[in-house]
Amino acid sequence: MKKIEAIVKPFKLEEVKDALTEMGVFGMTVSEVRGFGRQKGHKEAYRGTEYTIEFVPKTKVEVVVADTLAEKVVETIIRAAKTGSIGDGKIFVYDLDSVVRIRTGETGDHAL
Amino acid sequence: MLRKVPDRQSAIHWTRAALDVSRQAIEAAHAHGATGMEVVTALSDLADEILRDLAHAHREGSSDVPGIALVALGGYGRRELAPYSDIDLMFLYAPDCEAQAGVLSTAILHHLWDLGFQVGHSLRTIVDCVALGQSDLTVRTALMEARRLAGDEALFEAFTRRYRADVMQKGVQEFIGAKLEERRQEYSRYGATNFLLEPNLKKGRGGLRDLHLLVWTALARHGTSSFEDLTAKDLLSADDTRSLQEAREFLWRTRNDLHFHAGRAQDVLTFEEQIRIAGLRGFTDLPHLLAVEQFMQQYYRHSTRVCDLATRFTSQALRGSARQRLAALWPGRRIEQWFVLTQDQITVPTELRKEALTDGARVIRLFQLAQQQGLRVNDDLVQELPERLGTIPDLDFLSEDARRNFLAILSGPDRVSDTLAAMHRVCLLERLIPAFGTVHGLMQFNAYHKYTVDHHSLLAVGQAEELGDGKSMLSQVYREIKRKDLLHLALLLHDLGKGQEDDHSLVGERIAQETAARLGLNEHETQLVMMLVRDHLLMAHTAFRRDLSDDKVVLRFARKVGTPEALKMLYVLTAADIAAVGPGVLTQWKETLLGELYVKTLEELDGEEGAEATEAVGFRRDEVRRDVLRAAGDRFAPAWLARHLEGWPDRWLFTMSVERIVAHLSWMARVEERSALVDVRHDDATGTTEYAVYARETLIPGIFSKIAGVLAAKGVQILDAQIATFVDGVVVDVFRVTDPDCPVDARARRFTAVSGAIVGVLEGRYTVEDLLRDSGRFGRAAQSVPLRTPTVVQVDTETSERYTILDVFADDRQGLLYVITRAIFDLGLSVHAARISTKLDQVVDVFYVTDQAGHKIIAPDRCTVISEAITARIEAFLGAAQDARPQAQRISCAEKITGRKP
Repeated sequence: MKKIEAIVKPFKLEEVKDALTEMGVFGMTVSEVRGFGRQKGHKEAYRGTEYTIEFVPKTKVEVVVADTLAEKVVETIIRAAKTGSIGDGKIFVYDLDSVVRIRTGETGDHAL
Repeated sequence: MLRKVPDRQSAIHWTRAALDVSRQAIEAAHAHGATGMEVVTALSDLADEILRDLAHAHREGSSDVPGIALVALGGYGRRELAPYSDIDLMFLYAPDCEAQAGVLSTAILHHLWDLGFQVGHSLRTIVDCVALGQSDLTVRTALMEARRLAGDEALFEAFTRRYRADVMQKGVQEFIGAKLEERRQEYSRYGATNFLLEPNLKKGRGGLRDLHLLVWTALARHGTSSFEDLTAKDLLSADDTRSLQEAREFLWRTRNDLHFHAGRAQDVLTFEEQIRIAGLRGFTDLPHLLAVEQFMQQYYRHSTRVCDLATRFTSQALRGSARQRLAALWPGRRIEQWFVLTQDQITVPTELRKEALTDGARVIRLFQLAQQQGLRVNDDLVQELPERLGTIPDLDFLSEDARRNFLAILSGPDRVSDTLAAMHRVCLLERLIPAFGTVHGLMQFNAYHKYTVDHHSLLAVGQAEELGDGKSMLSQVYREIKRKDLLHLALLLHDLGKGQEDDHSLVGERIAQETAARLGLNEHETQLVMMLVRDHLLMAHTAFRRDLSDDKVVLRFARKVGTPEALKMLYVLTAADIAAVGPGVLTQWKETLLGELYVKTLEELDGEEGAEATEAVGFRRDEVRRDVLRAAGDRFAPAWLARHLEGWPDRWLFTMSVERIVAHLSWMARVEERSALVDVRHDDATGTTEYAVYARETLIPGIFSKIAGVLAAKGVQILDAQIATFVDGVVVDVFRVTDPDCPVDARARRFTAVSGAIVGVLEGRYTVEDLLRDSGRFGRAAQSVPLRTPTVVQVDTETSERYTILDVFADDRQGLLYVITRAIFDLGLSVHAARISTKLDQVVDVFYVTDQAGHKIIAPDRCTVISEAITARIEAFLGAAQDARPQAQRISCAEKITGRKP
């Protein structure tokens, strides 16, 4: 199993969610996150005074899928989240040891 | 039921079964509609019976062992056991019976544990009880409700006498104060408001604990806790007593439901349980109101009542001390004939109430004074108000005075939310805004909101107010808003459309319109409040779900919002609304995105005058001026230069290079009375050309419009334009353009031709219309636009002190700027500053205008005329350009503008 963690632009969430649902990924965890990468935050001027946005708001989407699906999920996220401009985000893929569904105690792929 | 059985093991087996049977019987009675009181009493009786039997059994038949008594404490002492309540027991013993008491308690407690009871227990002598009661608040409280179950009666009576004299009657004031404080801490853990969507029935605000607080206070202060006694002593009205009994019954019965169903002491009324119990109580879903919402509305009504009554009763008892009674006798300050102000309260003397409380405006004035003076409205008066208000006719709340007082309350500056909440508690708010009555305790059944609609709305006002002191951009913007009354009103109204069948934003907009009419707001104010309510989700949706780097997104939003003042209000309203959903919901994440959209939109809506005189701005201004002086050297007369630099608009100072400023200055210095100068610069990097035109204001009226006309006639496309007027009447108009028709090698000739035409028109040698006729290009459909977005012209009288600001949104078309500026000119307005920008196929133009005499236009009628006239001219122009067969009216309009026969 793989855990795929994507940091995307907030307004891309809907598209990413729809694309993933369409390809058969049914569960995901979404959170509001802030951070920066190569963008390094940016400066804005308000009424002549500059204020710094050190951390840029992003949305984190986490999904766990069987190994066979992982590559397709990554491609799908890229397709949905890409705008081509700076700050489009990143995708991290992790190997996952185990998953347990709390209610039933099922494990592995069955618990997804 | 229970008999003495010698073998302990078998006794347990037997009593367990018996206990189960008895408990099941009680549960069945509950299911068949037994009242909450019947159930808690039956459960207490059952426990009593078991304990008496156990006491009897373990004393081996000698039923009156002297020196030991079995005593129930706390809720069990009150005979109020819920199905899974703890049982609080005390073994009271005479000092010489310690050993026997130990043996007996061990035997009984083991039994109880084996039976599955949760038991709290203690072994104490009378002296222990007194000592602990004096030192430990919890023990003191529990012992107040001691009840003998079995054993030495004389011993128990001796305890009661001693305890009453040495503990209960000492330090009553401190005791009540301490209980109140303890309760406050509980509030902060279990819900600071009784409007939580998943309330704790026992410890939450408005829960059973509040009833207990009232009972303990009554016991401590008045020596009795029965509602009947308290009513007889006139400490509670008959009405209060009924409310308390109904609420207690509701809370008991619901809690019994929770316990029985969960099989444990479950006191939190979760969403799941709410749905289940609403069904049990026979509520059914209505199209606009779910069963569960109806059920919870009942809960909120009861819990509000409990909380209010308990708070009032306790604070009355607190103030009942001799010293404070004396203070109360101290004559207060009498003002405005009816009101008396004391140190911390405002009231109307009892003998005047009947007469005074017949006038709507006066009742509102009472709350207004309380707000201004930082006082609390007297508790008795609060109690009396709902009934009194019922006798005041509706019309009375619509009087001029009533409206004024209410709007003053909304303006603040302080305690707006608190005052509105106080008005809501006495049902006054719903007399002013009838829709507020329908959301009283209306829950929002989703996992997102934490509070009921009415509470959420009041909280939202409070959230906005809290911004007042902050340092964030949000706080800064809140402080800049001039009409805070309208913002607060919109916050109060924004969700009132909930609980009805249609989209709540649209229902809310209607409510806003009705409310504005009731409050006598003018057309502009009404539109603003309606927009804020209708679009209260727009900014959040745009900021969180749309690409803010896409100009189209920002433009669409800007067009809907219209003016900087409206934008500021919407920004604060959005943030306050989110913050009022629950603690921690307005995250930094959301704030950043909202802030980004705010700044980007403000850039579109705001023109030149935006920069505030903040310290940082002033500092930067001085810095740029110093640089310019240095770069200018001795090219200008020092006095002339100083005077001119003083008048430079911030926008120019901050965005232009020092070289460019010096260049402008040297052209300005050459402007003469009867001539115009044009400076042309081409930027190869962007392929754009800048025409800077310098002239005296007095040269010819409508300079800006005329230049726009010349550029249109010459087929030049205007990207943006800026205008500034300087100290001695020199105007500088800078147009950045592209020139699609001009081949590169013909550029120089072209620049000369365009410049020459501008100078010719400004110096009055020929007119724009002459040029247009010659070129024949004007009004030609330059591009086909299949879908037009409607033209919007906003007149903003709020943002600038000296100018009226026009925000124009329209589809772009060659020559459009001329049409707009010509319309402005024809309306007799002069343009002092402007920012023209074209993004994609949309223009957003901002004009700072005054009338010819230099006065800001504020009359609403005049503003409407201006907006309609400009809109009509733009529509006519765009329509004529697009439509081959324009309507008659449009032809005449277009003809006037273009000077061409169609």
